Amino acid sequence: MNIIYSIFKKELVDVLRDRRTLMFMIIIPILITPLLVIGSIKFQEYQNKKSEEKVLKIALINDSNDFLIKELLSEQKGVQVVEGISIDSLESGIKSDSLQGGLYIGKKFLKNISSNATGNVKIYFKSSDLMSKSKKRMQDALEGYKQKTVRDRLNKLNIEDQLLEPLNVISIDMSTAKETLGKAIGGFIPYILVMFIFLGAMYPAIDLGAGEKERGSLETLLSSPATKFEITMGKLLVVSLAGMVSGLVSVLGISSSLFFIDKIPEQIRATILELINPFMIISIIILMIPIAIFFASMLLSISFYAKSFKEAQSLMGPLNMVILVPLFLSLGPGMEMDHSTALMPLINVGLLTKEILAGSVEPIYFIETLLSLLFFAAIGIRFSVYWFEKENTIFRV
Amino acid sequence: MIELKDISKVFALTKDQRKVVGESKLRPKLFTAVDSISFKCNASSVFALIGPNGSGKTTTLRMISTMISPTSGTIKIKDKDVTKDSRKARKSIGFMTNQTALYDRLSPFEMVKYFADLNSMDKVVFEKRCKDIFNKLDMNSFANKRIGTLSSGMKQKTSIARTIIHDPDIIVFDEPTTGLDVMTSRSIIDLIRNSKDEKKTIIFSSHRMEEVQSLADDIGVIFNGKLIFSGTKTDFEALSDSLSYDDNLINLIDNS
Repeated sequence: MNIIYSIFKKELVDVLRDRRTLMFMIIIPILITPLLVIGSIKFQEYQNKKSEEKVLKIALINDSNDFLIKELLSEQKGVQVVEGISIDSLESGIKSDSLQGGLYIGKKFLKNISSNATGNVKIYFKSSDLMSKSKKRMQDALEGYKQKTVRDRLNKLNIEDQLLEPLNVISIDMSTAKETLGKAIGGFIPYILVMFIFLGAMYPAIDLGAGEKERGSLETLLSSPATKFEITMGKLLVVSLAGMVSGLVSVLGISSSLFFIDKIPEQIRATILELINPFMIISIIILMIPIAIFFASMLLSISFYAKSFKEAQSLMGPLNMVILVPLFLSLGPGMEMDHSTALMPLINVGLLTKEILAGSVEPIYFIETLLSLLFFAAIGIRFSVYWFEKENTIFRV
Repeated sequence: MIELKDISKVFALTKDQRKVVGESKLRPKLFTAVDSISFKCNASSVFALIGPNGSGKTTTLRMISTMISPTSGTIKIKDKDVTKDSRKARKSIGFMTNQTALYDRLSPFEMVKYFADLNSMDKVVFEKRCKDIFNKLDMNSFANKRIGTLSSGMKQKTSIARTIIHDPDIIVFDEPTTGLDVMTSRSIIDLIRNSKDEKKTIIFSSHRMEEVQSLADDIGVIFNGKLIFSGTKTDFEALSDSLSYDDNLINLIDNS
């Protein structure tokens, strides 16, 4: 035990003096994540504002004598009605983006409406233009037209409007703000958490495995009385700790960034503060321990195998993507925490984090998730030790 | 004393290694690095293991240091089988190569203390021995500087201090002076001489025949994993009166 502690102590000092490791473990999570969150929210806000404010040129070809549609369309915010063009020009204008939408009203339109029949209107737009609001603005204008026409028709028949509205559905959302926000934030927190545990553990793992091999110091370490098990455990503890620190710092970084976003209403801000409570922090830390150990064992095994720092880096790259797949699956429709999903590694992390943040976690699922992760962490440790004990791995040059 | 009896080491070749040695997929994937060798390194003497590159010197030294296990045969240090208690065996061994193999972000003191801790040295004993070694090697002026900032001579002194801090009875040197300048090589040669004066058992591998001539009491020649000569320095010199150590080695290899 003393030898494991000596190795742990030395490796920790060594890692903490490494600028690259500190960069990945602390600087990136604490600076980059808030910048990323604030930046993406601000960018989204800017894009929305831009698209709201943009004046859309919508062509109107009206072959009937109806003027109401034009009136309603002109009333829409940010719409400039363009008239007097042909269908061909309308189509080519939309294709070339000189027009953002078009509306065609045929000759028989008004006649059909007046005779209580259906009037056909064609709307032209580009669905590939994701940010464009032209379709919505045209539909809003037509919806106004539709409501007015229905009202007029009912009035002519002396029928009250309510006849067509037999139900007045009033939705009452019983979720607390904490639950709603917790589940929403819980969707992306596991990504950040897992990604930064992995990134934080990656550099120390490379340095303490392939790095030592490359420097030749592993050979002298193996000539010391420390057993391969003790060496692996000492290194594993440091790599796991680095991963955990990185994960925790990233979550704190994201949490702190939410306070720098102006448009968060006071109530939501208060809810976020409620979310970040001692229970949430302790639960996340407990959850991080087995994840970090599991990642550390995998990364160290790869690092021990690699001939050089460079090879270790290239072997670890694809793993980075692989770990995100289960988290992505946990966000899928119908994915709920139950006794089976609680045992699936990383999927359970995604689901449990949402529950923890929403404050609706059931203890049995927490325990099952933890046991599952500990089981995989134990397999990881065993594999790592087995791998390190193999002469072909250690002296692979 | 170190005694090797019928020691063999067989490695499974990796794909890359099979390509290098020209092995086809159909031929055996095993490679015998050391083939049934036996020799003794007497207490308080220096044993030189010589031979061309890839002959099995490093593998033999790694087996003596218990870093790797022999496929067959026994290695005894002070009459005790090292495979049965390798930790105890390693406590009596100091291992050094031509690479300083240090941690750049530690100081020489931290480096030496780390290896003392790994050898479970008593704090008082460590402090006294560390002081003695640092004084002897004139290391006090840079004891607390980061190793990464030191000159190669200072690094070599740190490496020496690390190797001998636990006062091992046996010191194993794997090509300790290869690629080093004259001054740095001299510090290693002095260490070997001093260790011999301190009645330690020393085994070293080398390509520099002048070092072998000046330091060795006994010599072993290894080629293609087989020990083709083992005897005293006098026996080796007696192979031919007129030829140099280099010529004797080449003749032994040619005639094997």
